[in-house]
Amino acid sequence: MSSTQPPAIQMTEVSKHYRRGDETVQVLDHFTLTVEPEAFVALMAPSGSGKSTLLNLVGGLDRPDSGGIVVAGIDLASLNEAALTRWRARNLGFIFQLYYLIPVLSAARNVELPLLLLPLSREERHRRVEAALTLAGLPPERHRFRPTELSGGQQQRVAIARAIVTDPPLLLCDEPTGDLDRSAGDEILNLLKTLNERLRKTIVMVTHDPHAATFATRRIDLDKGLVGERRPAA
Amino acid sequence: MKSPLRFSPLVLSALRRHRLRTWLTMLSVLIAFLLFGLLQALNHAFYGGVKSAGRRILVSMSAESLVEPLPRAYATEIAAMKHIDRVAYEVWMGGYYQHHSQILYALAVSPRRWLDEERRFLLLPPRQESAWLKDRSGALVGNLVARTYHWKTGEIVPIRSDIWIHPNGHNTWPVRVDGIFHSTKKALGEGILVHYRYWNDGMGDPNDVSLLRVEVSHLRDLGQVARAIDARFANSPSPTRTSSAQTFIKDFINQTVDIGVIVEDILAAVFFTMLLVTANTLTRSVRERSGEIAVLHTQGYSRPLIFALILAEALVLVLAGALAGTGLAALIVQGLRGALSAYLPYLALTERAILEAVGLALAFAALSSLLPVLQVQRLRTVDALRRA
Repeated sequence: MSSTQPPAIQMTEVSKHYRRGDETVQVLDHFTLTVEPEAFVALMAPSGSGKSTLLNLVGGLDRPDSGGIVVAGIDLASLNEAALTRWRARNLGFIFQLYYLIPVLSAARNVELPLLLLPLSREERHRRVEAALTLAGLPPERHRFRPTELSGGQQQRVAIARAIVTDPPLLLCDEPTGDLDRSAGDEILNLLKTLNERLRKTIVMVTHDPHAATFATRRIDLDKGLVGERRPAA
Repeated sequence: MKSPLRFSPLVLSALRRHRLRTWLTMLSVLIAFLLFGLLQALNHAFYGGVKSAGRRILVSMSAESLVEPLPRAYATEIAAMKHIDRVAYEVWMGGYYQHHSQILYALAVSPRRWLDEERRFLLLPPRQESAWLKDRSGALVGNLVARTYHWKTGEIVPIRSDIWIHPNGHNTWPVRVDGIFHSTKKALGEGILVHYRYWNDGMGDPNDVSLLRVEVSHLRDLGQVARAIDARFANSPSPTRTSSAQTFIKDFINQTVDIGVIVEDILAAVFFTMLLVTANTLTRSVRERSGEIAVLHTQGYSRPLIFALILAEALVLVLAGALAGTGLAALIVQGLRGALSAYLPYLALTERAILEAVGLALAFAALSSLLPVLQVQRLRTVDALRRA
């Protein structure tokens, strides 16, 4: 890590509440977190403790009630909705538990979707899609398969390829192995680890699975907006 | 490089998701536009003649009804009035050829005056024209009638009429085909013109006419002249009712039924239903895809772009159905034209109707995408991701 590089994520005194019927739920209360560039952070938390909210805030999908969020030197509060959308297109890759692939499009077409927003030729898009799918470990003969023709693990590989195809520096993963068996889950976690180590992607992964957290370089326990930190032994 | 067409797989994917629903919606649009095409063709069949009628022409008929005759002498009196260029008269012979089902559109006219009025719309060899002018029992025949019954110049053909019976009791009016003309006015191509004198002599010299065609010098005088004509004959045994040729044709059609109103009512009901069906399809489709739309948003798809994609989806759905429906209507109208040309010479799906169909399709696509667009506008990405 270069000393001049700003933190990948800097959350300062962030608070966020939701209304659930008449009840007010305070999911984050003066929450502060710094994530260094090229880190692989596992955010461990039980359900309802605000870990998805945290990803949404970092991804600019939601705004905090108070506090500041700076991602790679960009203060998200300074960006309006349109600017945030453009920023996401180039700087973020989201990976979800349920993949969210479009079922009637092939794997390659699904991966191509973020590239349609960039000024690229069809050939260049094709080249990047093939590279991303190959990097994600989907066999070439399956690039034209539809999601329903792929296993859960392969669908998540397609989703990861979609997240990295624009080469964003930051990947936000929301329970990426939550819908997979242990073996497929481990393959996906190894893939994320590879992306972190070889391509130097900063990865923030929320999970409630302690085993998944062992693949990260840093583990943060989040409970009711309170942070406890554990770093794996070197 | 940044062609909007690059989004076409995404747009088509939305339509391919529930193929049956898409096909059924497209079918409903197709039926709506098929009806639109057929009803517009029917509308044109009835009112097409209205537009082609001369704007400076007045039609005077009996104030009682078209069946009641007027004295031919009115023509001379009207011709002497102010602001009038020409007066022609005609008798509606009706008639049929051989069988009642083979209806003819035959008129008894003053040949020179009729030619003066209509020559600019005719393509008629001069020799045939002069032959007809000299031949009192001759007829000029529109090319469409001649083709239908395989008539040739020089042939004698019997026109029969249930309206006009000779004093001796027979109803056959044999005429010689002196000329066959083409006309830019479609209705004329279906017409048969015989000499007024031939009809008048055959009827025992009643000197009556069905109506008078009055050409006014200036369009601005149309109303004033019409009122003057009716005032002149108001206290006579045969008072007149005078209106513009366009109004005359419209009133004549509307005596039986106002086709225009029926067409408009049917189309309004059909299109309203189609709008509901299409909007419902799109709304359901967007609701089912709210998770995917949220993910597109996380990938950098802006809301305006997502709105545009929904509009494109509606356009593909509606335009495909509209083009298929209008095309099918054009084929059906084309097929019916041959069979119905004697009854509905103006039956046609006009370019204007086709352009209206395209305009309607665009408008309905925009309208039917309004609800789904509002849905997306209200969609909170974080909620959609949580729900999915």
